[in-house]
Amino acid sequence: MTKAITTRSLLEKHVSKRDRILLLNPPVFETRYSWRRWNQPLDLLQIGSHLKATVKCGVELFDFMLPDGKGLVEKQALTGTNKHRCVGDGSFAYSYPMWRFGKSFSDFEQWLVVRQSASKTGRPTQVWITSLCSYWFRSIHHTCNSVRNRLHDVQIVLLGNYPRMMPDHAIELSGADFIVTKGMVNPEGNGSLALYGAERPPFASLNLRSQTTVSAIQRAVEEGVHHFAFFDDDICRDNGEPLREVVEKTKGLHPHLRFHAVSGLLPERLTPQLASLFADRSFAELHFEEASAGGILEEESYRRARSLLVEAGMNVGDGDKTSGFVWIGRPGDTLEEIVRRCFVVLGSFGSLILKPFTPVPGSDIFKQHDKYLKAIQPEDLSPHMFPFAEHNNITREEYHDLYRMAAFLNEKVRNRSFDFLNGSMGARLLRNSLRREAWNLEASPLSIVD
Amino acid sequence: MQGMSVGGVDPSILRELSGVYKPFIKAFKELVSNSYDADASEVSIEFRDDFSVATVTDDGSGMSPFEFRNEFTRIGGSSRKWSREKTRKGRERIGNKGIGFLALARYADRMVVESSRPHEFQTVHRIQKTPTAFDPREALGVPISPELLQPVFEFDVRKAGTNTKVRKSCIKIDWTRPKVSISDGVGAVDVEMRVDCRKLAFRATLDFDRLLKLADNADLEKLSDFTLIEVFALPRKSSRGTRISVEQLKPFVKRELRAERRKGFVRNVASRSGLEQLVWHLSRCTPIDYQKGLEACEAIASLLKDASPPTLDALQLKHGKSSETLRRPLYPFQSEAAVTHRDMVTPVEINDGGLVAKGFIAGYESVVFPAEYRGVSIRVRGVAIGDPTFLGAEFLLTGAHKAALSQITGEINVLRGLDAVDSLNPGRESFYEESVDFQILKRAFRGEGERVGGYLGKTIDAVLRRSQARSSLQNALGRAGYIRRAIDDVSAGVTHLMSSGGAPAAAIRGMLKSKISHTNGLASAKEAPFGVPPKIGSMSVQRSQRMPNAAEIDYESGIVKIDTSRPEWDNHIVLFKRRFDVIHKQGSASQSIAEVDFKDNRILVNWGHPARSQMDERGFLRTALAWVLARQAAEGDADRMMEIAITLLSFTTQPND
Repeated sequence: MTKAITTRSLLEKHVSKRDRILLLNPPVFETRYSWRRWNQPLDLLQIGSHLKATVKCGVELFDFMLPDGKGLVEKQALTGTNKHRCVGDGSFAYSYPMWRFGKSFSDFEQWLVVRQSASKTGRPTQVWITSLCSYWFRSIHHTCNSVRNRLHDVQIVLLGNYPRMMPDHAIELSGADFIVTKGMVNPEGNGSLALYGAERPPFASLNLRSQTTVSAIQRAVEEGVHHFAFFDDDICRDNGEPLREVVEKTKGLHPHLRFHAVSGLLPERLTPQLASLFADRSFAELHFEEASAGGILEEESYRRARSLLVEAGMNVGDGDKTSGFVWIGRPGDTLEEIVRRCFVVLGSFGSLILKPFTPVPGSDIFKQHDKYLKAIQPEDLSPHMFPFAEHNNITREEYHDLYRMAAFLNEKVRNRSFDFLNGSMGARLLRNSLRREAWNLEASPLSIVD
Repeated sequence: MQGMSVGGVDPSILRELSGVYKPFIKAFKELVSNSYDADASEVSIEFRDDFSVATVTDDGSGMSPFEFRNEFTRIGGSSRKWSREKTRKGRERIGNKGIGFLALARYADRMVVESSRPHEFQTVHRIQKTPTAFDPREALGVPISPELLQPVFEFDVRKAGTNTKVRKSCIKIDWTRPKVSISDGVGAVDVEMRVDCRKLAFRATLDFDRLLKLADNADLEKLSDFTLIEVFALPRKSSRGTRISVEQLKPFVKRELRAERRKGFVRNVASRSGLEQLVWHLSRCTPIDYQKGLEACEAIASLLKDASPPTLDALQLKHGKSSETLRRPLYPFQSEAAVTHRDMVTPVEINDGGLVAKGFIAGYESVVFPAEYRGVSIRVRGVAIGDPTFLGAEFLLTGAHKAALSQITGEINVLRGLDAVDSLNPGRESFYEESVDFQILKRAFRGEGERVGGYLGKTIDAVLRRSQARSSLQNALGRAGYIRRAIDDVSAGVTHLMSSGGAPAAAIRGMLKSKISHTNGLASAKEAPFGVPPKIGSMSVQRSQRMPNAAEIDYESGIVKIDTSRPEWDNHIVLFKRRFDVIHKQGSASQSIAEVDFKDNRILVNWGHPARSQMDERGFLRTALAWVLARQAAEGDADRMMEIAITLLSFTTQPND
């Protein structure tokens, strides 16, 4: 019988010095994976560091999502029954090709074999599996199954958002022994990359709330990691002071040290000081969140943000360094509004990234649309499946049209045309907008953004 | 320079004899052989940058102008004298057929020979009738100035065939002409001439271009300028030895030497640059030490230790700025060679009827590269005779036995025998079949009749034994892996059904709560042969744990160790959280395809079921497991059973299925 426990209970009652704990960051079964370069189990790194330092038990990490030499996570088409996932009916129907992102279970099995023959310590006594998104439960179930087949009598613990947000589902269907439904080890801590052993990841994720961020960066640089990504909700909080402190205290540590603001960068929070900071070459990427309140885009925030960046000396039309997110798939979407936002963001930052939406279980939006969402299969709540398509009366095909549009717009728009869009609503809206802008359009190749 | 008559042989024969040495390297190596025979310690070969000239310099005993005339350029002249004679250093002479100087005639326009030797040259010249007068230089056969000859020349005249000297008063020598006069009419006389060569050196030029342009019926005696020679006083501080320059190498030779290494992945010597090929072949057919690495391969090293004749101390090759000391390459000592296993090395030791030979033949687990190493190199007097060979065994073998030849290499050094004139062809490229020594060698090497035995047969057997053992092991491991994959597929299929929720998940969950045995006779059927086999090939199997590799074969003790802690030997299946043993049974055709025992957590699979003949092992196991689980979970609902079974059967964990 699977039991629900808290983090505190897990660490105080279910683990001892004699344990050998294997931490797993599982693969992902999904149709599209936006963060192929930016997946790192910060929670496992935090918990692993804590276990080593405090409990003093054996700890190892196997990260299915560790990028390859090119900095990308491995990708393989799923087969058989899993090959496609059909979502929706009628005009809303769409067949999504499904992929495994991350290493295969064969790779994991081989790693266990090599570990077993090389290691003088025994087999793991516990396997702790984390999860980033609740709708990725299928790959977590398969990970549990793979662990059970290879390590029969091991105790399996599920961590992360899946057991937290879908505890009943996890208890009934995961096959784990324990699921952790509450608490975090150290929400303000930074994990140690030493858990990766000799195979270091290409970047380290940072928690700006932590007091140890600077030392975490120093340690990572010593270990050969020079790229750092922020995943906070708001990296510009407190007028950007925490961020500025980290950047200044790490200046000169390494000539190739780079920061990547992949989330949590709010245009409305930008200050002249932060703009100067971002203009420095130590910031390689800046992805601005959508600035909106009550469903209305705050265009003034965009204008102001662009102005500050230009004044700070940045070439904002660059497109490689700056971009802005635009939500799609939220309840209440209209295609016209999405296209309009795209142009605002494009005009402000030079490039746009469409960010598909799904409500977090337990959030206000989730509760507001509870009845509608309950009729949807849990794994179809993936944002890439556009759970609100029927609600918004926008077909999934039309949502995918937007990706093509974004790909097109991210090229140099002037002097290109877009006859390929085949008369869909998105295409018509785009043409109308572009006509109003009176751009001169010629032939152009295509590419999908994501 | 003056002309010097050579040989007295028809030029067309000279032309034919020069064709004995093909290709260029076979001819060129004769120069090194000559240096070896001259007891040289160090030989240096230098190619001009454009490969137009090759110069070979040695520190051997050298030769006097008379030795050059009488031995170096004499057709057949050395064979009787040298065939069984050793050098002063005790080396068995390599060159004994007396045509070595012609070797390079086809490959260059000219050869220049410079040398000297501090010895006393003696010759006896019989004159049939006296009184008479003669030029001593004609008798000596070498054009040498009177001023140079006079201080070093001595002679006695005796009545022919006796020790009775002719009176000195009737012997006069006029150095102005020069002429020796014998005024007494004493019948035939023997003139014994002695020349002190300590202070004489010479430079001779052989014009090959002229030689080969001659018409067939030209008289060689008329070609006094085919070889031009200059004899001079040896400079005071000059070193001993011989220097031979082969000049104006033919365009095709230069082209070959300049050829570049083939682009891309290169394994064979024939794909290397022209110069690299020359170095390799020269290293294989000259008497030099083995390359370093002798110590690294003990099995071979010990067999070669007492099996090598004396060698040159150093053979250096220079071209442009590069310089290399040549060592004899041997496949087992190459860095890229496969591992040499003791059980695949056949020592060769022959001592029969005057033939003494030692060496080895080694088989390998993979094909030998470079391909030029395949076969057994037979060396006589330290020099390889022809290319590596199987002495015709390749024409008797077929199939796997023949294929095994590509994995065999070796070296046999003939220490005594096989060096007679009737054993080796003039170019020392092959043996004469009728040679008794060769027949002994062949018999020991490959046995008699149409079946290949002997040392080669033993090596082939060793190669095939390994190949069969490895193949059997791979089959066993592959089969186990296949069975495991089938189990994993069904296990993952159950997980997939559970994840999907709904009625099938509920059905599976209900089934897994059961504690009832549903077996019906299969339990008493005999076990089907799965799992770790007791033997692989003819070798016993030993179980082990935590090995670095899935299995290891110990050929010497005949044991195969298998790491049974690996997943492929695990016959359990996990269904959700419950673990079952998968037991393979050889039931009858009328029994069910599989049965489940929820009481003792076993799933019995009937390999005697007729469905087995319709599919491979993996497909059958998946079918059996899927069927029995679907049947149990569906509890009589046919549609549910089909739904579950189809999902389980179509689920696979491998992307390439």
